[in-house]
Amino acid sequence: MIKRGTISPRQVFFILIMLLTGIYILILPRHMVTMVGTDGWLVLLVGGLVSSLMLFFINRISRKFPGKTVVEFAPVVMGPFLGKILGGILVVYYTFLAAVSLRIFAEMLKSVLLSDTPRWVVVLALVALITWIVQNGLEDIARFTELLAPIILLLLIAALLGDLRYMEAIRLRPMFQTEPFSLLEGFISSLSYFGIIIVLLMLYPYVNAPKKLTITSLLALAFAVIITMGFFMGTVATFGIYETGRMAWPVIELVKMVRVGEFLERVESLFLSVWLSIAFINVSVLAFCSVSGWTQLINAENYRKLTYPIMPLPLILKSLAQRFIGCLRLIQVEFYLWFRYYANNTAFHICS
Amino acid sequence: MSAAYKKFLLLVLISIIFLSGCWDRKEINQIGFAVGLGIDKDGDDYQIITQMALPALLEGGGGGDEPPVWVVGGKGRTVFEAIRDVNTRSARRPFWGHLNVIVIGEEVAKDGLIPVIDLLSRGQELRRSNYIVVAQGKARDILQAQPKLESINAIFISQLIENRTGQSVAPAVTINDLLITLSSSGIESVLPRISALGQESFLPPKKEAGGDSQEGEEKPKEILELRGAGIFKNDKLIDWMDEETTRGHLWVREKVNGGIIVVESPSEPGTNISLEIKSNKSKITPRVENGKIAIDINISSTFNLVENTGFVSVESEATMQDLRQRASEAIRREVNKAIKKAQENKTDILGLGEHVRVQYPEMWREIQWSELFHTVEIRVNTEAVIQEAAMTLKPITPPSQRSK
Repeated sequence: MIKRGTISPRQVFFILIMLLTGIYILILPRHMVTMVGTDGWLVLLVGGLVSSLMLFFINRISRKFPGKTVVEFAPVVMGPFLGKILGGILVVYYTFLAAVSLRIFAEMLKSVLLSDTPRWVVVLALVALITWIVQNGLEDIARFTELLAPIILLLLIAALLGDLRYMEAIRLRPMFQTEPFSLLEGFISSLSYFGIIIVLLMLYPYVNAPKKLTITSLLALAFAVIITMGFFMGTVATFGIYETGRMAWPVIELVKMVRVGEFLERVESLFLSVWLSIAFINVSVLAFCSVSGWTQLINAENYRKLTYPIMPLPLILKSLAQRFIGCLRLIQVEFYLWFRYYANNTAFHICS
Repeated sequence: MSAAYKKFLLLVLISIIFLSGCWDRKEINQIGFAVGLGIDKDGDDYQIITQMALPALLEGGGGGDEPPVWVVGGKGRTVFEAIRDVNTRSARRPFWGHLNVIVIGEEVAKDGLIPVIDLLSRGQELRRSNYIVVAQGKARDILQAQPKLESINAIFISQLIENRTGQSVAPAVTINDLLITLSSSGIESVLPRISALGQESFLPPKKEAGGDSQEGEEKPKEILELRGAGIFKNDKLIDWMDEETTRGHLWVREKVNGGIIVVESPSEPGTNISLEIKSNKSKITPRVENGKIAIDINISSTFNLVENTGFVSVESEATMQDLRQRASEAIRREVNKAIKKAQENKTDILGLGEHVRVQYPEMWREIQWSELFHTVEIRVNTEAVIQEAAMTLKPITPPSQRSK
């Protein structure tokens, strides 16, 4: 058994917020508006509440098997065969998430900053970067998350406040007009959005004070729910539901409008660098979960060696999502998968 | 790790600092900053006019009579083709990130904004917070006018829009506002009107005596006025509002922030009192009575007494009461004008439908608001509060008028 690094609950708090606020914040308002119109905030709130229940289970089960990740304790609970299958599903899920996130990261980097750079250069450079980061272990990832996250959070909140002058409450109404079926659809989507907290299952053994984690993770979830609701309501109050539904990147449009006083405007490049940091943290954490998950699944000695075969996966995915639109579709597939694993996981927890 | 390897690594790290750069950069002397954009129609084609800032002349200070902007146009079947057409005449690629204002020609507005606005909402460089105005006449005339004070005319226009609080007789509309009113149900669009004139509009028209104009060299217009607004049905300009009607519209939209209302003095007929508008609140309450929609508009506003042209002080309780009455009457008159204009044109520029939609969503799905709006009964209640007069307590009174 190799020595595992240790991270503090505070670092977990920031990692979770970054994962939950995540890459999808940029498109979340549009996604919600097309499904549930002005009721997105409600759907997010309920999704967050249900996720907190989920979080409670994650904490309980992980506490029962101290020092073990879900991939390691699943065979103990469910028997070797089923346990391996469940572990496998989760690991594939993390890998898939990591790959898709890396794709979106690269896509955004390309379209915003490096528009004339060939796509493969961007993707290759990112894969190399992430490989290097994963090699260095979770401790490093946690440390730079702790460093960046507070700045990122402050800037996110500032972006919202800077747009207050354009917001009108009437655009958030009428409420509660959505069909029950769409509401359910939106709810599932929001559940899958927050479902990424199952990453915590992989982080648990690394935390040096696991007892504090219940509170910490719940706080992180609450914070993330508030931020996502804030961005949803801010976007809709600024643009109205029709315009929000028409935009490719509603949150970027929102940030483009920011104007503080007569001098502070055109801050979207700052915001994009913030967002790129979020994406970077997301990809790092997910890639780490994926690589260490594979290691534990096949009982390998050292996860470092496994990094090399696993990390080029996003390159293969490249052919799956050749074009950007394809990439957006993948996100929807992902939302769906997210929910599926979520449901699986809940069932498993209730069983144990 | 050997020492040589470490040195090599250090060298690589240091060189990163110096070797980095943007190989797809655009140097500042290769792009032209477009500060104003005008869109006109020529038959079925679009003509665009851009104002490009000439940085060299801007720095120079007194560069003579030459304005530091260059007005250049392009033509095409779509706005974008027209914009690209500019490149055949301009050595520098126009950069749109610093655009100040977009002027829509009257003809374009009458034919519909949607073909034009689509590009403006998609553009990477263009911002949704840009102001948009509609020209009376050609947009080209507006952008070619040479007003004083500000050497760049597009900046002049955007400052006119921001200074509108002086009178509140024109709305300020950004691309974002326009896109929202175009896409929302229950509200129609309004754009401020700008016109280029040879002289102030209140002066008697100059006699076009042979002299200047006959020589064929037309002098650029010197006065730009931002007054009134164009009203739209869907995306088409159908009518204009004068200043009072525009302010009536702004009262309802809660967008009046400043301006003067002149009322006759209650204590001394024939003299006037100027009241400065300090704040404006409006509340729109739709109700359904016997299956019919009726709308209550409550407007309250506070004023400062800033000018009394008469001799008699109005600061007694009774005259103040009377003055409040007159002020609220003045607001009501303006609002009623706006309502009348909107209902005559059957276009809900006041956004009353939005309130019906929010309050009665089930009913909203069944009615056709655009068919119904002009028949709806609208009741206006106004209320005015007058704060005590600014720095002086009493008006100027000549000795002969003073009561001993």
